[in-house]
Amino acid sequence: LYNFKGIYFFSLQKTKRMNSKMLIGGVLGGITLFLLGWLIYGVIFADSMAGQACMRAKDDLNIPMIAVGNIISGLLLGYIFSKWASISTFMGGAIGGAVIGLLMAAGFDCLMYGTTTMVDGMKGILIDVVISTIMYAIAGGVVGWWMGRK
Amino acid sequence: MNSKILVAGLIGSVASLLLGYLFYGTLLAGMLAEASMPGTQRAMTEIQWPFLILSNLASGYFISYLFSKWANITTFSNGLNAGATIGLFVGCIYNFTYYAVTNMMTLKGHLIDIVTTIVITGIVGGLVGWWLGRGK
Repeated sequence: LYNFKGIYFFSLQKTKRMNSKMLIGGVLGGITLFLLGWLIYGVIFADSMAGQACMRAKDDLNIPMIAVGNIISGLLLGYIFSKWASISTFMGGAIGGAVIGLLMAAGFDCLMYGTTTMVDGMKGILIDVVISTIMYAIAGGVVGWWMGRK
Repeated sequence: MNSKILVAGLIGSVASLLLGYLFYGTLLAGMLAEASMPGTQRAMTEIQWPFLILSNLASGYFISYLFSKWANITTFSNGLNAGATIGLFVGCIYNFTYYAVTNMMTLKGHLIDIVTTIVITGIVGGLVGWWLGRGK
């Protein structure tokens, strides 16, 4: 019984450590995505984003909601890397993040172009897919690096 | 990538397309049209089907890649759970972000979309998991 308790205790400790590591890794990935998104969409491509009628004006953007979306993206990377992929290096995370970003952005941008009037044709899709792939690769690298820290 | 993963991705893509048509094209069409900003949604006759098919292929292969390469999921129930979890993450990511930066849909519309994404991705995940475990 003692041994069983010991195994249970250490298993519980390990699970707690994994969960907190995943959460902190996810938040770090989310912060990385938020900063990269601000730099790329808010500064570099700001003019091309402002053309759509349904886009919110700059002072009407819901920044806390953008932050929540980015934190959930980081948590998705943390969840996949820790629960399924066992990724624990910057390079492994960057590759995993790039694959996830590429497939998610390609799926969503094609969906938006196919069903709404919001996306500016193939050029808009390609630019957004490339940007998302790069952003998720960097965020994935950060999450992977954190997962491997002792 | 072996043939099992390729077929699993294709099954996921077809299921995603059919379920998307069922939910967004028929069951929830009226509700989502009311929740959307006029002029942002394409009419049924203006839908760009090649892009919609590409989108569903990307979704199907995303699930298939995750389950086979990383998660090692080989049953319908495990696929259903994992698919619903992925759907929750992805639905929240895109709906919260689009709500934050556009006026294309009301908050109620975005919440309906999150729930629908969880249901569709859950079923797609179940089918992909079932296929990956066939013959084992």
